[in-house]
Amino acid sequence: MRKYIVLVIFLVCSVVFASGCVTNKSTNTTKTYAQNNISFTYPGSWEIVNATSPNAVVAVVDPNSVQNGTPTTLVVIQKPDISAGSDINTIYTSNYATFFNNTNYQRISDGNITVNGQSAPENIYETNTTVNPIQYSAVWLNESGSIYVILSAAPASDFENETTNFNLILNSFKLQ
Amino acid sequence: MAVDRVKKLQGKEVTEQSTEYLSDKKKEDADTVEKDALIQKYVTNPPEKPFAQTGSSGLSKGKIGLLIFVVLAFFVGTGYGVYVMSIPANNSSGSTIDVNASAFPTVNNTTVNQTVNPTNTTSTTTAVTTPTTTTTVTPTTKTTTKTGGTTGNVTKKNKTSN
Repeated sequence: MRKYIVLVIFLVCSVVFASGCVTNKSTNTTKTYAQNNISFTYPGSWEIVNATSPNAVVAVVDPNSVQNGTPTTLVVIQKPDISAGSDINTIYTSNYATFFNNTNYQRISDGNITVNGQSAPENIYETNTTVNPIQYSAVWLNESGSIYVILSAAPASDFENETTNFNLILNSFKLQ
Repeated sequence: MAVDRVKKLQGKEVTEQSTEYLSDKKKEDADTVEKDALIQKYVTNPPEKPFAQTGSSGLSKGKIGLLIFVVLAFFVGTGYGVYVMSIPANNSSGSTIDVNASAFPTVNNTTVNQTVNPTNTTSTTTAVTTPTTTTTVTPTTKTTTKTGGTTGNVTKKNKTSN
């Protein structure tokens, strides 16, 4: 009888310890988007949503960031309507020459990053609000003569934590 | 003793074995009493444990407490694990979430009317092609009215005079 009691306690302890090790495995899984001549990998817990942005190709959001129907952590991929072969730096400069005429945004930084071995201009800005500002990172990619803009957004206080997810999409982005 | 009496009544001789037997028995009794005295003197029984108390319930209070703790820990642990797991939001379906964030500047949809002499002005609408040197990025879904230099549909008033 005593042996059975010890065995039961051991099994229960094993279950308790195992339950303490429970994690959300979906955070480590990924999904792949492959439509509209592009493909990329995104976090498994994120969802493809309807993009109403001008020239948007696709948008993915973190469902847990949705507040009142509006996501705050998201990535939108846009393809500006310009002729193929246009100079990306010229278009980039022209875009942000007028972009910040909108006082809802304020520039944080402007520079170049390396994506898959290629230099890409990046503009980081955030909403000009004191309460829960949203930070944006717009990376402009030149893929085989076509320009794609990968716009990542998250609450400014959480932006660094989402960098891994943003980089997952950015580094896996390619034309099909 | 009864056997001896029966033998006497039968006229038989009573052997001396019976007296020896009695003396041996007395010795045995004396030894037994002596042994009992020695046992009571030197042999002590261990104090009785509260065996009846543990035997009646089957588990001690400590074991019951440990069992309750483990069961509580199980539920607390599993509850915390479920809490830590990111539960999908109810509105996670893509059809109910719209994203309108854009990396491009918003374009105001304004119309400019240039009227010099209403009586001598005719209005025509033409689509102006984009100059090759223009690099302004404008969403195609928006309509802007300018007097040249940008992409998109441009409405221009041509002035004619007599």
